[in-house]
Amino acid sequence: MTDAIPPARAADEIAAYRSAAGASRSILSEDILGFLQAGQTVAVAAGSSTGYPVCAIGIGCTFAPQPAGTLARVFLARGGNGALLELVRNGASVGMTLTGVDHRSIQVKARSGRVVAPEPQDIAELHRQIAAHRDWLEIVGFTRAFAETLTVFAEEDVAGIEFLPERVYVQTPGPGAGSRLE
Amino acid sequence: MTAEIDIERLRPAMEGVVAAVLATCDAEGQVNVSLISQVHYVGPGRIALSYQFFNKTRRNLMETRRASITVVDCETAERYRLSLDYLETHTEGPVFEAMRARLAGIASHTGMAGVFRLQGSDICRVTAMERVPCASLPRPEDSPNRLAAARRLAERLRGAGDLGALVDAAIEGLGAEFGITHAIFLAADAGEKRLFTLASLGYAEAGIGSEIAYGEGLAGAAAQSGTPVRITMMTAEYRYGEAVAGTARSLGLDWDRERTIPFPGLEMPGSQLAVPLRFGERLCGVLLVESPEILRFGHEDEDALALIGDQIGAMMAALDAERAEAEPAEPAGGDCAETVRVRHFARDDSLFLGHDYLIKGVAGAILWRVLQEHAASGRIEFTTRELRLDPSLRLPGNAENFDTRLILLRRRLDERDAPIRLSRSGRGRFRLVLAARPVLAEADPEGAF
Repeated sequence: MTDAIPPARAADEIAAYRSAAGASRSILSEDILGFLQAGQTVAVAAGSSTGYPVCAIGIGCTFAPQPAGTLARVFLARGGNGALLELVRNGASVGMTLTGVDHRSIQVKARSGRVVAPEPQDIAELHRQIAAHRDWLEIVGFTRAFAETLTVFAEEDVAGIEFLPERVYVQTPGPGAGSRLE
Repeated sequence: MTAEIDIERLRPAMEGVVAAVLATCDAEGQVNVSLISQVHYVGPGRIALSYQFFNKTRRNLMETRRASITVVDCETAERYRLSLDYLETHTEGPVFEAMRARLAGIASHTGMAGVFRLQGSDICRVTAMERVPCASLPRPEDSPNRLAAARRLAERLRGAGDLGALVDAAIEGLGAEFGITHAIFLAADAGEKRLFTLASLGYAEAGIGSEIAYGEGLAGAAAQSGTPVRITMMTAEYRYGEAVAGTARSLGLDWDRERTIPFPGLEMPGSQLAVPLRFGERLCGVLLVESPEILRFGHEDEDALALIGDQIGAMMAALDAERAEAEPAEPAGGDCAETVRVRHFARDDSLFLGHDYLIKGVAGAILWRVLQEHAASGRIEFTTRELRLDPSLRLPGNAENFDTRLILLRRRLDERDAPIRLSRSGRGRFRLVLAARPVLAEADPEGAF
């Protein structure tokens, strides 16, 4: 089964989208962008005001290059995540949290998002992030086989959720979790 | 009544090895997503989430009483997504204690015991469960039968006639029957709320006599909670904690360092399991086992060693109750050509042989008393009863761990290859064995001689 997924926005569409949303600058600093794309554990979720939220383990994330970080895309497998993607299509809120092996964690949220297909450069970036993530998993003690199984993805099965980051929070465990970063 | 969803097979996904993804919403449907390390299996259709801080996740859970969680099997990498309904929060009871002990063990390692404190166990009902399609590994072959191993170890313990033999049988049996390579047998001092090492397995330094407080590390957490505590993977937090602890130790006072026997343990354990040794409500000690491998100790190891822990605790209590009647001391003695200077510091009863720290506390007081008596009368034969009743030793009221202190002292002297030894000479009796003549020196209140 293959749901029709629209392509990601072209550069001129992104500019128009940003302008319409009033997002003239990114709320994500260079440091945060570096962290988010360093090969972390990716958690994705879509909200619901009537039922249960739906969460998943994602693959990685990319950001529109100009201005840096204004438009985010978080990627996950389509297989098994139909309910989550359906919530997004129906206007649900979106959240993604990226966590490093040192438990440093950052959450980015938006009131809505759009399901998109990945671009070739997205796929290349996901492979880079996944390779870094596998290395981290091995460093903390997982076997290579487990790390590969946990992170492997099929390029043809990848879906993206594109959204304008509206809020960014520290999510590192502890009393400061939930503090806004922007 | 709706049948509960069977989540028993998800227990390997709740080991805290691979963090779980938890999503909640506020009343407006704005989602919040985080990674959590502790999802506790409660029973059929029930899990518990740890409540440490009143953060957005908890506020949402209280507001909507719904959540979604994705967990990963630590052996196969299979993923499962659960829908949860919040039911209630436990602030006491077995679920709460088990979760609190585990958290305390982690917090202690990271030096954040005061920050990482469990406020409650949020009990949730699983209303839906689905396996998320993804790549997975075959489940490893079944581990050896833990019940049979526990039975064989129990048989080894049964033959122990005194506490020393019991400790040896336990340590040797863990290696032989469970294939455990690193273990520490700690006795409890209920009055001081401390644990001290009686024996260990697999370390370069045996660490006999080393002490930790209740609540310190995994063993201390097991002592404080009275429940087994198991960590299946050394996380980055542990590494950070070890570094912090190492720095703190390096900044310690020389006086304190001199009087501290290093606690044995792996520098970088992959897995740890601590089980209390109990008899009823009385804590007799803690057994700590560890391994450089991650995922070395599973639920079955915990269950088996918890049973063994109860047996050891009961035997320690029984042996304690069998204290021998006093027997007349035998005057004896002998001259040695060599001498050894024994220095005593009354403020903590610490003893030094020459310039080397030996021991302190009750064990130090016992040896000092014995050596003083030997110097005065030449006696080398003593009874445990006379020492237990000796008011100068200032033993705790119940003196229930006198025997463990005596064994600790004997082992410490043996470990240091000291020219002064204590050997068991009969039930309730021991003998001072001297390879050098002790020359006793008592420090003045300022610590000078």
